[in-house]
Amino acid sequence: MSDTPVLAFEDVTKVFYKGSQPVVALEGLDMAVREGEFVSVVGPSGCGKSTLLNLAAGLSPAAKGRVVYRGKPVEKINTAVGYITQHDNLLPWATVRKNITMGLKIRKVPAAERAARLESYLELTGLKGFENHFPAELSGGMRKRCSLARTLIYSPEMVLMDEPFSALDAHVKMIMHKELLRIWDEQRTTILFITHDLVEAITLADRIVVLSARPGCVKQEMQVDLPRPRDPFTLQTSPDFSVIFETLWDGLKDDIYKGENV
Amino acid sequence: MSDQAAGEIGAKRRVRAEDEFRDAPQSALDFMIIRIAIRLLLTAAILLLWQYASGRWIEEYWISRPTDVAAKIVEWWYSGDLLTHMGITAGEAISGFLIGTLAGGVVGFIFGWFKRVAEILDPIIIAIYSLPKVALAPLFIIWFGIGFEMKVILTAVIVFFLVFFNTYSGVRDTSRELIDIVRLMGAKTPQVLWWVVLPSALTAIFVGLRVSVPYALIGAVVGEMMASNRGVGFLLMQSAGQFDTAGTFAALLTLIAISAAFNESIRYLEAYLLRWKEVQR
Ligand SMILES: Nc1ncnc2c1ncn2[C@@H]1O[C@H](COP(=O)(O)OP(=O)(O)OP(=O)(O)O)[C@@H](O)[C@H]1O
Ligand SMILES: [Mg+2]
Repeated sequence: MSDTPVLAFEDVTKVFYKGSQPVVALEGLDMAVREGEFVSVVGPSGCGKSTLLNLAAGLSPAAKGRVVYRGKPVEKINTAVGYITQHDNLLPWATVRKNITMGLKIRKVPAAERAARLESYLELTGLKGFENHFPAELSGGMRKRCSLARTLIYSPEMVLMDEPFSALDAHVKMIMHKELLRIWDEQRTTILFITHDLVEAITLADRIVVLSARPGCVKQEMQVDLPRPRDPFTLQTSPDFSVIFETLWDGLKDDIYKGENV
Repeated sequence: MSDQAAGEIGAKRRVRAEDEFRDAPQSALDFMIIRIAIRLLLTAAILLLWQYASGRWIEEYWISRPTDVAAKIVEWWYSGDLLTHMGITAGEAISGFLIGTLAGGVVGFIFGWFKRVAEILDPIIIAIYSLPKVALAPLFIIWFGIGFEMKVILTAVIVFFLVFFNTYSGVRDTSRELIDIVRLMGAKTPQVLWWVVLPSALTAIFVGLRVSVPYALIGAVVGEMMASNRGVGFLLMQSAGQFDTAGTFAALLTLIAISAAFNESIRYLEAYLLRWKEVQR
Protein backbone atom coordinates (compact mmCIF):
# COMPACT_ATOMS: atom_id res chain seq x y z
CA MET A 1 0.00 0.00 0.00
CA SER A 2 2.64 2.48 1.03
CA ASP A 3 4.37 1.71 -2.24
CA THR A 4 1.57 3.02 -4.43
CA PRO A 5 2.18 6.71 -4.79
CA VAL A 6 -0.46 9.21 -3.69
CA LEU A 7 -0.11 11.09 -6.91
CA ALA A 8 1.48 9.95 -10.16
CA PHE A 9 1.97 11.53 -13.56
CA GLU A 10 2.34 8.84 -16.22
CA ASP A 11 3.78 10.14 -19.46
CA VAL A 12 1.63 13.24 -19.28
CA THR A 13 1.46 15.76 -22.11
CA LYS A 14 -0.53 18.95 -21.91
CA VAL A 15 -1.19 21.17 -24.90
CA PHE A 16 -2.89 24.56 -25.00
CA TYR A 17 -4.19 26.02 -28.20
CA LYS A 18 -3.87 29.63 -29.18
CA GLY A 19 -6.23 29.54 -32.11
CA SER A 20 -4.96 26.51 -34.02
CA GLN A 21 -1.40 27.11 -32.81
CA PRO A 22 -0.51 24.49 -30.19
CA VAL A 23 1.56 25.46 -27.14
CA VAL A 24 2.99 22.34 -25.53
CA ALA A 25 3.22 23.10 -21.82
CA LEU A 26 4.25 19.64 -20.59
CA GLU A 27 5.61 16.76 -22.60
CA GLY A 28 6.09 13.19 -21.42
CA LEU A 29 6.10 14.10 -17.75
CA ASP A 30 6.72 11.16 -15.43
CA MET A 31 6.82 11.68 -11.71
CA ALA A 32 5.24 10.44 -8.51
CA VAL A 33 4.67 11.66 -4.98
CA ARG A 34 4.54 9.12 -2.16
CA GLU A 35 2.45 9.17 0.98
CA GLY A 36 3.71 11.74 3.48
CA GLU A 37 6.41 12.96 1.16
CA PHE A 38 7.37 16.59 0.68
CA VAL A 39 8.25 17.04 -2.98
CA SER A 40 9.37 20.30 -4.46
CA VAL A 41 9.26 21.12 -8.16
CA VAL A 42 11.58 23.77 -9.56
CA GLY A 43 11.95 24.92 -13.12
CA PRO A 44 12.18 28.00 -15.30
CA SER A 45 9.25 30.35 -15.66
CA GLY A 46 6.63 29.13 -18.10
CA CYS A 47 7.80 25.51 -18.08
CA GLY A 48 4.42 24.21 -16.93
CA LYS A 49 4.68 24.08 -13.14
CA SER A 50 1.28 25.62 -12.49
CA THR A 51 -0.14 23.50 -15.28
CA LEU A 52 1.14 20.41 -13.48
CA LEU A 53 -0.75 21.36 -10.32
CA ASN A 54 -3.93 22.11 -12.28
CA LEU A 55 -3.73 18.62 -13.72
CA ALA A 56 -3.30 17.11 -10.26
CA ALA A 57 -6.28 19.08 -8.97
CA GLY A 58 -8.39 17.86 -11.87
CA LEU A 59 -8.99 21.38 -13.10
CA SER A 60 -7.72 20.64 -16.57
CA PRO A 61 -7.45 17.40 -18.55
CA ALA A 62 -4.22 15.96 -19.94
CA ALA A 63 -3.83 15.65 -23.70
CA LYS A 64 -1.94 12.39 -23.38
CA GLY A 65 -0.99 10.06 -20.55
CA ARG A 66 -2.65 9.76 -17.15
CA VAL A 67 -2.70 11.61 -13.88
CA VAL A 68 -3.42 9.11 -11.12
CA TYR A 69 -4.48 9.87 -7.56
CA ARG A 70 -4.37 6.95 -5.13
CA GLY A 71 -4.62 4.47 -7.98
CA LYS A 72 -7.54 6.20 -9.72
CA PRO A 73 -7.21 8.42 -12.75
CA VAL A 74 -8.09 12.05 -12.02
CA GLU A 75 -11.09 12.81 -14.20
CA LYS A 76 -13.00 15.43 -12.32
CA ILE A 77 -12.19 17.99 -9.64
CA ASN A 78 -9.99 16.27 -7.08
CA THR A 79 -11.42 17.35 -3.73
CA ALA A 80 -8.92 15.22 -1.83
CA VAL A 81 -6.23 17.81 -2.45
CA GLY A 82 -5.96 21.32 -1.09
CA TYR A 83 -4.62 23.81 -3.61
CA ILE A 84 -2.84 27.05 -2.80
CA THR A 85 -2.79 28.71 -6.21
CA GLN A 86 -0.20 31.11 -7.54
CA HIS A 87 -2.79 33.91 -7.51
CA ASP A 88 -4.30 34.01 -4.07
CA ASN A 89 -7.88 33.53 -5.34
CA LEU A 90 -9.46 34.73 -2.12
CA LEU A 91 -13.14 35.61 -2.33
CA PRO A 92 -13.04 39.41 -2.55
CA TRP A 93 -16.47 39.77 -0.92
CA ALA A 94 -15.63 37.63 2.09
CA THR A 95 -13.72 38.84 5.13
CA VAL A 96 -10.46 37.19 6.15
CA ARG A 97 -12.40 35.20 8.73
CA LYS A 98 -14.93 33.91 6.20
CA ASN A 99 -12.26 33.12 3.65
CA ILE A 100 -10.20 31.13 6.11
CA THR A 101 -13.04 29.19 7.70
CA MET A 102 -14.80 28.34 4.46
CA GLY A 103 -13.27 24.85 4.17
CA LEU A 104 -14.33 24.08 7.74
CA LYS A 105 -17.87 25.25 7.06
CA ILE A 106 -18.09 23.05 4.00
CA ARG A 107 -16.98 20.15 6.20
CA LYS A 108 -19.63 21.09 8.80
CA VAL A 109 -17.07 21.58 11.56
CA PRO A 110 -18.88 22.92 14.66
CA ALA A 111 -18.66 26.68 15.24
CA ALA A 112 -16.63 26.38 18.45
CA GLU A 113 -13.93 24.33 16.80
CA ARG A 114 -13.96 26.62 13.78
CA ALA A 115 -13.29 29.58 16.02
CA ALA A 116 -10.48 27.79 17.85
CA ARG A 117 -8.76 26.71 14.66
CA LEU A 118 -9.23 30.14 13.11
CA GLU A 119 -7.54 31.63 16.14
CA SER A 120 -4.49 29.41 15.82
CA TYR A 121 -4.13 30.00 12.08
CA LEU A 122 -4.52 33.76 12.47
CA GLU A 123 -1.72 33.55 15.00
CA LEU A 124 0.39 31.42 12.71
CA THR A 125 -0.02 33.67 9.69
CA GLY A 126 0.20 36.93 11.60
CA LEU A 127 -3.25 38.04 10.49
CA LYS A 128 -4.59 38.62 13.98
CA GLY A 129 -6.61 41.81 14.13
CA PHE A 130 -7.44 41.59 10.44
CA GLU A 131 -10.26 39.03 10.69
CA ASN A 132 -12.84 41.55 9.53
CA HIS A 133 -10.81 43.00 6.68
CA PHE A 134 -11.64 42.29 3.09
CA PRO A 135 -8.87 40.96 0.78
CA ALA A 136 -8.62 44.33 -1.00
CA GLU A 137 -7.63 45.83 2.34
CA LEU A 138 -4.65 43.50 2.80
CA SER A 139 -1.13 43.71 1.44
CA GLY A 140 0.01 41.22 -1.20
CA GLY A 141 1.95 39.20 1.34
CA MET A 142 -0.98 39.15 3.76
CA ARG A 143 -3.25 37.85 1.03
CA LYS A 144 -0.78 35.07 0.37
CA ARG A 145 -0.69 34.17 4.04
CA CYS A 146 -4.47 34.25 4.15
CA SER A 147 -4.76 31.84 1.25
CA LEU A 148 -2.23 29.59 2.96
CA ALA A 149 -4.29 29.55 6.16
CA ARG A 150 -7.48 28.92 4.20
CA THR A 151 -6.11 25.66 2.80
CA LEU A 152 -4.04 24.36 5.71
CA ILE A 153 -6.83 24.94 8.23
CA TYR A 154 -8.98 22.09 6.95
CA SER A 155 -6.05 19.64 6.73
CA PRO A 156 -6.54 18.14 3.28
CA GLU A 157 -4.70 14.84 2.86
CA MET A 158 -2.49 16.30 0.17
CA VAL A 159 -1.59 19.94 -0.40
CA LEU A 160 -0.54 21.49 -3.71
CA MET A 161 1.32 24.77 -3.29
CA ASP A 162 2.21 27.10 -6.13
CA GLU A 163 4.95 29.50 -5.05
CA PRO A 164 3.08 30.29 -1.84
CA PHE A 165 5.87 32.35 -0.30
CA SER A 166 7.13 34.20 -3.35
CA ALA A 167 5.55 37.49 -2.28
CA LEU A 168 7.07 37.42 1.20
CA ASP A 169 10.29 39.06 2.30
CA ALA A 170 13.23 36.81 3.17
CA HIS A 171 12.73 36.97 6.90
CA VAL A 172 9.00 36.27 6.96
CA LYS A 173 9.61 33.56 4.41
CA MET A 174 11.94 31.74 6.78
CA ILE A 175 9.43 32.00 9.59
CA MET A 176 6.79 30.55 7.28
CA HIS A 177 9.18 27.76 6.31
CA LYS A 178 9.68 26.93 9.93
CA GLU A 179 5.94 26.87 10.60
CA LEU A 180 5.20 24.86 7.49
CA LEU A 181 7.82 22.29 8.50
CA ARG A 182 6.31 22.14 11.97
CA ILE A 183 2.80 21.58 10.62
CA TRP A 184 4.08 19.02 8.18
CA ASP A 185 5.98 17.20 10.94
CA GLU A 186 2.79 17.06 12.97
CA GLN A 187 0.37 16.03 10.27
CA ARG A 188 2.61 14.35 7.69
CA THR A 189 0.45 15.74 4.93
CA THR A 190 1.73 14.91 1.47
CA ILE A 191 2.95 18.12 -0.13
CA LEU A 192 3.75 19.04 -3.71
CA PHE A 193 5.44 22.40 -3.59
CA ILE A 194 6.24 24.58 -6.60
CA THR A 195 8.91 27.22 -6.32
CA HIS A 196 11.55 28.97 -8.34
CA ASP A 197 13.69 29.41 -5.25
CA LEU A 198 16.26 26.61 -4.90
CA VAL A 199 17.10 27.51 -1.31
CA GLU A 200 13.45 27.20 -0.41
CA ALA A 201 13.16 23.87 -2.18
CA ILE A 202 16.18 22.41 -0.40
CA THR A 203 15.09 23.75 2.98
CA LEU A 204 11.68 22.14 2.78
CA ALA A 205 11.66 19.10 0.56
CA ASP A 206 12.49 15.42 0.82
CA ARG A 207 12.96 15.30 -2.89
CA ILE A 208 13.39 17.90 -5.59
CA VAL A 209 12.21 17.53 -9.17
CA VAL A 210 13.78 19.82 -11.72
CA LEU A 211 11.76 20.51 -14.85
CA SER A 212 13.24 21.51 -18.18
CA ALA A 213 12.26 24.66 -20.03
CA ARG A 214 8.99 24.44 -21.95
CA PRO A 215 7.78 21.90 -22.89
CA GLY A 216 8.39 20.77 -19.34
CA CYS A 217 9.55 17.28 -18.50
CA VAL A 218 11.58 15.90 -15.63
CA LYS A 219 15.18 16.83 -16.15
CA GLN A 220 16.64 15.85 -12.83
CA GLU A 221 15.48 14.37 -9.56
CA MET A 222 17.32 14.64 -6.31
CA GLN A 223 16.81 13.27 -2.85
CA VAL A 224 17.49 15.83 -0.12
CA ASP A 225 19.03 13.87 2.70
CA LEU A 226 19.44 16.70 5.15
CA PRO A 227 18.43 15.57 8.65
CA ARG A 228 15.09 16.62 10.09
CA PRO A 229 13.88 18.58 11.93
CA ARG A 230 15.54 21.30 9.89
CA ASP A 231 16.07 24.83 11.03
CA PRO A 232 15.54 27.19 8.07
CA PHE A 233 17.65 29.83 9.80
CA THR A 234 20.84 27.79 10.03
CA LEU A 235 20.42 25.12 7.37
CA GLN A 236 22.05 27.14 4.63
CA THR A 237 25.36 27.20 6.45
CA SER A 238 25.76 23.41 6.38
CA PRO A 239 28.21 22.07 3.78
CA ASP A 240 25.73 19.39 2.66
CA PHE A 241 23.36 22.17 1.73
CA SER A 242 25.94 23.76 -0.56
CA VAL A 243 26.63 20.47 -2.30
CA ILE A 244 22.97 19.94 -3.07
CA PHE A 245 22.59 23.54 -4.16
CA GLU A 246 25.55 23.33 -6.57
CA THR A 247 24.31 20.10 -8.13
CA LEU A 248 20.80 21.44 -8.70
CA TRP A 249 22.00 24.78 -9.93
CA ASP A 250 24.19 23.06 -12.52
CA GLY A 251 21.11 21.29 -13.84
CA LEU A 252 18.92 24.35 -13.80
CA LYS A 253 21.05 27.23 -14.99
CA ASP A 254 21.10 26.55 -18.75
CA ASP A 255 17.34 26.37 -18.84
CA ILE A 256 16.75 29.39 -16.65
CA TYR A 257 17.88 31.61 -19.49
CA LYS A 258 15.54 29.84 -21.87
CA GLY A 259 12.61 30.47 -19.54
CA GLU A 260 10.00 33.02 -20.45
CA ASN A 261 10.11 36.42 -18.74
CA VAL A 262 12.70 35.48 -16.12
CA MET B 1 3.84 38.27 12.69
CA SER B 2 5.58 41.08 10.91
CA ASP B 3 2.63 43.28 11.78
CA GLN B 4 2.87 42.43 15.44
CA ALA B 5 6.61 43.02 15.42
CA ALA B 6 6.02 46.42 13.89
CA GLY B 7 3.57 47.12 16.70
CA GLU B 8 6.19 46.35 19.33
CA ILE B 9 8.87 48.46 17.75
CA GLY B 10 6.49 51.36 17.37
CA ALA B 11 5.04 51.11 20.89
CA LYS B 12 6.11 54.68 21.56
CA ARG B 13 4.41 56.08 18.51
CA ARG B 14 1.29 53.98 18.59
CA VAL B 15 -1.81 55.49 17.02
CA ARG B 16 -4.41 56.42 19.60
CA ALA B 17 -8.13 56.73 18.99
CA GLU B 18 -8.13 60.41 19.94
CA ASP B 19 -5.45 61.26 17.37
CA GLU B 20 -6.67 63.29 14.47
CA PHE B 21 -6.00 62.24 10.93
CA ARG B 22 -6.77 63.86 7.67
CA ASP B 23 -8.53 60.84 6.23
CA ALA B 24 -10.45 59.87 9.34
CA PRO B 25 -14.14 59.14 8.74
CA GLN B 26 -15.31 62.47 10.27
CA SER B 27 -14.00 64.45 7.34
CA ALA B 28 -16.18 62.29 5.06
CA LEU B 29 -19.14 63.33 7.20
CA ASP B 30 -18.14 66.99 6.95
CA PHE B 31 -18.06 66.67 3.22
CA MET B 32 -21.49 65.07 3.19
CA ILE B 33 -22.94 68.02 5.10
CA ILE B 34 -21.38 70.45 2.64
CA ARG B 35 -22.74 68.41 -0.24
CA ILE B 36 -26.25 68.45 1.16
CA ALA B 37 -26.03 72.18 1.87
CA ILE B 38 -25.02 72.91 -1.72
CA ARG B 39 -27.88 70.80 -3.02
CA LEU B 40 -30.40 72.60 -0.83
CA LEU B 41 -29.11 76.01 -1.89
CA LEU B 42 -29.31 75.08 -5.54
CA THR B 43 -32.86 73.79 -5.16
CA ALA B 44 -33.86 76.97 -3.34
CA ALA B 45 -32.32 79.08 -6.11
CA ILE B 46 -34.26 77.22 -8.79
CA LEU B 47 -37.52 77.56 -6.86
CA LEU B 48 -36.95 81.29 -6.39
CA LEU B 49 -36.20 81.74 -10.06
CA TRP B 50 -39.30 79.77 -10.99
CA GLN B 51 -41.44 81.83 -8.61
CA TYR B 52 -40.00 85.07 -10.03
CA ALA B 53 -40.30 84.06 -13.67
CA SER B 54 -43.87 82.93 -13.35
CA GLY B 55 -46.23 85.65 -14.51
CA ARG B 56 -43.31 87.92 -15.44
CA TRP B 57 -41.36 86.11 -18.15
CA ILE B 58 -43.62 83.17 -18.79
CA GLU B 59 -47.33 83.09 -18.43
CA GLU B 60 -48.48 81.42 -15.24
CA TYR B 61 -50.83 79.14 -17.16
CA TRP B 62 -47.86 77.22 -18.56
CA ILE B 63 -45.62 76.81 -15.58
CA SER B 64 -47.78 77.59 -12.55
CA ARG B 65 -45.65 78.73 -9.59
CA PRO B 66 -43.99 77.00 -6.63
CA THR B 67 -46.33 78.52 -4.06
CA ASP B 68 -49.38 77.29 -5.97
CA VAL B 69 -47.84 73.85 -6.37
CA ALA B 70 -47.07 73.77 -2.66
CA ALA B 71 -50.62 74.83 -1.88
CA LYS B 72 -51.90 72.01 -4.05
CA ILE B 73 -49.71 69.48 -2.25
CA VAL B 74 -50.90 70.78 1.11
CA GLU B 75 -54.48 70.57 -0.10
CA TRP B 76 -53.99 66.96 -1.20
CA TRP B 77 -52.25 66.19 2.04
CA TYR B 78 -55.23 67.37 4.10
CA SER B 79 -57.81 65.75 1.87
CA GLY B 80 -55.86 62.50 2.25
CA ASP B 81 -55.47 62.26 -1.53
CA LEU B 82 -51.71 62.59 -1.44
CA LEU B 83 -50.95 59.60 0.75
CA THR B 84 -53.67 57.42 -0.79
CA HIS B 85 -52.52 57.93 -4.35
CA MET B 86 -48.84 57.85 -3.49
CA GLY B 87 -49.38 54.66 -1.56
CA ILE B 88 -51.17 53.04 -4.48
CA THR B 89 -48.53 54.00 -7.02
CA ALA B 90 -45.65 53.06 -4.72
CA GLY B 91 -47.40 49.81 -3.87
CA GLU B 92 -47.76 48.91 -7.54
CA ALA B 93 -44.20 49.91 -8.36
CA ILE B 94 -42.69 48.07 -5.41
CA SER B 95 -44.73 44.90 -5.89
CA GLY B 96 -43.95 44.86 -9.58
CA PHE B 97 -40.32 45.61 -8.86
CA LEU B 98 -40.00 42.76 -6.39
CA ILE B 99 -41.77 40.23 -8.59
CA GLY B 100 -39.80 41.32 -11.67
CA THR B 101 -36.52 41.25 -9.77
CA LEU B 102 -37.13 37.83 -8.31
CA ALA B 103 -38.23 36.32 -11.62
CA GLY B 104 -35.47 38.09 -13.58
CA GLY B 105 -32.88 37.01 -11.04
CA VAL B 106 -33.94 33.37 -11.05
CA VAL B 107 -34.20 33.10 -14.84
CA GLY B 108 -30.93 35.05 -15.21
CA PHE B 109 -29.23 32.55 -12.89
CA ILE B 110 -30.57 29.60 -14.87
CA PHE B 111 -29.38 31.12 -18.15
CA GLY B 112 -25.99 32.08 -16.77
CA TRP B 113 -25.37 28.76 -15.07
CA PHE B 114 -26.66 26.37 -17.73
CA LYS B 115 -24.97 27.44 -20.95
CA ARG B 116 -27.15 25.10 -23.01
CA VAL B 117 -30.39 26.73 -21.86
CA ALA B 118 -29.00 30.12 -22.81
CA GLU B 119 -27.87 28.94 -26.25
CA ILE B 120 -31.31 27.54 -27.05
CA LEU B 121 -33.53 30.27 -25.62
CA ASP B 122 -31.41 33.36 -26.27
CA PRO B 123 -33.10 34.41 -29.56
CA ILE B 124 -36.58 34.04 -28.09
CA ILE B 125 -35.72 36.23 -25.11
CA ILE B 126 -34.12 38.84 -27.35
CA ALA B 127 -37.21 38.87 -29.57
CA ILE B 128 -39.52 39.49 -26.62
CA TYR B 129 -37.09 42.02 -25.18
CA SER B 130 -37.07 44.11 -28.34
CA LEU B 131 -40.79 44.73 -27.91
CA PRO B 132 -41.51 48.04 -26.15
CA LYS B 133 -43.01 46.71 -22.94
CA VAL B 134 -45.58 49.48 -22.49
CA ALA B 135 -47.14 48.26 -25.73
CA LEU B 136 -48.24 45.23 -23.72
CA ALA B 137 -50.48 47.38 -21.53
CA PRO B 138 -53.64 47.03 -23.66
CA LEU B 139 -53.23 43.26 -23.71
CA PHE B 140 -52.77 43.20 -19.95
CA ILE B 141 -55.91 45.30 -19.53
CA ILE B 142 -57.83 42.61 -21.42
CA TRP B 143 -56.25 39.86 -19.37
CA PHE B 144 -56.12 41.34 -15.90
CA GLY B 145 -58.63 44.20 -15.93
CA ILE B 146 -57.83 47.74 -14.93
CA GLY B 147 -57.02 47.12 -11.27
CA PHE B 148 -53.90 46.83 -9.16
CA GLU B 149 -52.82 43.52 -10.76
CA MET B 150 -52.51 44.91 -14.24
CA LYS B 151 -50.08 47.64 -13.16
CA VAL B 152 -48.07 45.27 -11.03
CA ILE B 153 -47.72 42.85 -13.90
CA LEU B 154 -46.81 45.55 -16.40
CA THR B 155 -44.14 46.83 -14.00
CA ALA B 156 -42.90 43.32 -13.28
CA VAL B 157 -42.49 42.56 -16.99
CA ILE B 158 -40.46 45.72 -17.56
CA VAL B 159 -38.24 45.12 -14.53
CA PHE B 160 -37.88 41.42 -15.33
CA PHE B 161 -35.91 42.02 -18.52
CA LEU B 162 -33.57 44.59 -17.03
CA VAL B 163 -32.73 42.41 -14.06
CA PHE B 164 -32.63 39.27 -16.16
CA PHE B 165 -30.01 40.54 -18.60
CA ASN B 166 -27.77 41.91 -15.89
CA THR B 167 -28.04 38.82 -13.73
CA TYR B 168 -27.36 36.62 -16.72
CA SER B 169 -24.16 38.41 -17.65
CA GLY B 170 -23.10 38.69 -14.01
CA VAL B 171 -23.47 34.96 -13.46
CA ARG B 172 -21.76 34.13 -16.73
CA ASP B 173 -18.80 36.37 -15.92
CA THR B 174 -18.10 34.82 -12.54
CA SER B 175 -14.42 33.90 -12.27
CA ARG B 176 -13.91 30.29 -13.28
CA GLU B 177 -10.90 30.10 -10.99
CA LEU B 178 -12.85 31.15 -7.92
CA ILE B 179 -15.55 28.59 -8.65
CA ASP B 180 -12.92 25.88 -9.12
CA ILE B 181 -11.09 26.72 -5.95
CA VAL B 182 -14.25 26.58 -3.85
CA ARG B 183 -15.29 23.34 -5.57
CA LEU B 184 -11.89 21.95 -4.77
CA MET B 185 -12.49 22.73 -1.11
CA GLY B 186 -15.42 20.36 -1.34
CA ALA B 187 -18.30 22.79 -1.91
CA LYS B 188 -21.43 21.48 -3.63
CA THR B 189 -23.27 23.45 -6.29
CA PRO B 190 -25.68 25.28 -3.92
CA GLN B 191 -22.72 26.45 -1.83
CA VAL B 192 -20.84 27.55 -4.92
CA LEU B 193 -23.87 29.53 -6.07
CA TRP B 194 -24.38 31.15 -2.69
CA TRP B 195 -20.76 31.92 -1.81
CA VAL B 196 -19.24 32.63 -5.19
CA VAL B 197 -21.68 33.18 -8.02
CA LEU B 198 -24.28 35.31 -6.24
CA PRO B 199 -21.82 37.74 -4.62
CA SER B 200 -19.89 37.98 -7.86
CA ALA B 201 -23.02 38.63 -9.92
CA LEU B 202 -24.37 41.10 -7.38
CA THR B 203 -22.43 44.01 -8.89
CA ALA B 204 -24.13 43.45 -12.24
CA ILE B 205 -27.49 42.71 -10.60
CA PHE B 206 -27.39 46.07 -8.84
CA VAL B 207 -26.78 47.83 -12.13
CA GLY B 208 -30.02 46.18 -13.27
CA LEU B 209 -31.84 47.19 -10.11
CA ARG B 210 -30.74 50.80 -10.34
CA VAL B 211 -31.87 51.25 -13.93
CA SER B 212 -35.07 49.39 -13.08
CA VAL B 213 -36.30 51.95 -10.55
CA PRO B 214 -37.51 54.60 -13.01
CA TYR B 215 -38.89 51.88 -15.28
CA ALA B 216 -40.82 50.38 -12.41
CA LEU B 217 -42.53 53.74 -12.02
CA ILE B 218 -43.14 53.97 -15.75
CA GLY B 219 -44.99 50.68 -15.57
CA ALA B 220 -47.14 51.77 -12.68
CA VAL B 221 -47.84 55.30 -13.93
CA VAL B 222 -48.52 54.39 -17.55
CA GLY B 223 -50.87 51.70 -16.30
CA GLU B 224 -52.69 54.27 -14.18
CA MET B 225 -52.85 56.82 -16.96
CA MET B 226 -54.38 54.33 -19.35
CA ALA B 227 -56.89 52.84 -17.04
CA SER B 228 -57.49 53.90 -13.51
CA ASN B 229 -59.21 56.18 -11.07
CA ARG B 230 -56.48 55.90 -8.51
CA GLY B 231 -52.75 56.51 -8.16
CA VAL B 232 -50.42 59.37 -9.01
CA GLY B 233 -50.80 58.60 -12.72
CA PHE B 234 -54.51 59.24 -12.32
CA LEU B 235 -53.85 62.49 -10.40
CA LEU B 236 -51.60 63.54 -13.24
CA MET B 237 -54.17 62.80 -15.94
CA GLN B 238 -56.98 64.40 -13.96
CA SER B 239 -55.05 67.62 -13.28
CA ALA B 240 -53.84 67.89 -16.84
CA GLY B 241 -57.33 67.16 -18.10
CA GLN B 242 -58.61 70.14 -16.12
CA PHE B 243 -55.71 72.30 -17.35
CA ASP B 244 -54.63 72.53 -13.73
CA THR B 245 -50.90 73.20 -14.15
CA ALA B 246 -50.23 73.45 -10.43
CA GLY B 247 -51.84 70.05 -9.90
CA THR B 248 -49.85 68.55 -12.75
CA PHE B 249 -46.59 69.82 -11.28
CA ALA B 250 -47.63 68.63 -7.84
CA ALA B 251 -48.25 65.13 -9.24
CA LEU B 252 -44.86 65.17 -10.97
CA LEU B 253 -43.14 66.21 -7.76
CA THR B 254 -44.88 63.37 -5.98
CA LEU B 255 -43.47 60.97 -8.55
CA ILE B 256 -40.01 62.41 -8.07
CA ALA B 257 -40.35 61.91 -4.32
CA ILE B 258 -41.37 58.26 -4.75
CA SER B 259 -38.58 57.66 -7.21
CA ALA B 260 -35.97 59.35 -5.03
CA ALA B 261 -36.96 57.36 -1.96
CA PHE B 262 -36.90 54.19 -4.02
CA ASN B 263 -33.48 55.00 -5.48
CA GLU B 264 -32.04 55.86 -2.12
CA SER B 265 -33.15 52.54 -0.62
CA ILE B 266 -31.48 50.66 -3.46
CA ARG B 267 -28.32 52.72 -3.00
CA TYR B 268 -28.20 51.91 0.70
CA LEU B 269 -28.69 48.24 0.07
CA GLU B 270 -25.99 48.30 -2.57
CA ALA B 271 -23.54 50.19 -0.39
CA TYR B 272 -24.04 47.57 2.30
CA LEU B 273 -23.92 44.44 0.17
CA LEU B 274 -21.04 45.65 -1.99
CA ARG B 275 -19.08 47.20 0.87
CA TRP B 276 -16.14 44.95 0.06
CA LYS B 277 -15.60 47.04 -3.06
CA GLU B 278 -15.07 50.22 -1.09
CA VAL B 279 -11.30 50.49 -1.11
CA GLN B 280 -9.55 53.43 0.51
CA ARG B 281 -6.95 55.17 -1.58
N1 LIG C 1 -4.99 28.64 -19.88
C1 LIG C 1 -3.96 28.66 -20.72
N2 LIG C 1 -4.16 28.89 -22.05
C2 LIG C 1 -3.13 28.90 -22.90
N3 LIG C 1 -1.87 28.70 -22.56
C3 LIG C 1 -1.58 28.48 -21.27
C4 LIG C 1 -2.61 28.46 -20.29
N4 LIG C 1 -2.05 28.22 -19.08
C5 LIG C 1 -0.74 28.10 -19.32
N5 LIG C 1 -0.44 28.25 -20.63
C6 LIG C 1 0.89 28.16 -21.23
O1 LIG C 1 1.51 27.01 -20.73
C7 LIG C 1 2.85 27.27 -20.39
C8 LIG C 1 3.11 26.88 -18.96
O2 LIG C 1 2.37 27.72 -18.10
P1 LIG C 1 2.44 27.59 -16.52
O3 LIG C 1 1.53 28.61 -15.94
O4 LIG C 1 2.23 26.19 -16.12
O5 LIG C 1 3.96 28.01 -16.23
P2 LIG C 1 4.75 28.03 -14.83
O6 LIG C 1 5.81 27.03 -14.91
O7 LIG C 1 3.80 27.95 -13.72
O8 LIG C 1 5.41 29.48 -14.89
P3 LIG C 1 5.70 30.52 -13.67
O9 LIG C 1 6.88 30.02 -12.94
O10 LIG C 1 6.00 31.79 -14.40
O11 LIG C 1 4.46 30.57 -12.86
C9 LIG C 1 3.10 28.73 -20.69
O12 LIG C 1 3.78 28.81 -21.90
C10 LIG C 1 1.74 29.34 -20.84
O13 LIG C 1 1.75 30.33 -21.83
MG1 LIG D 1 3.09 29.23 -12.34
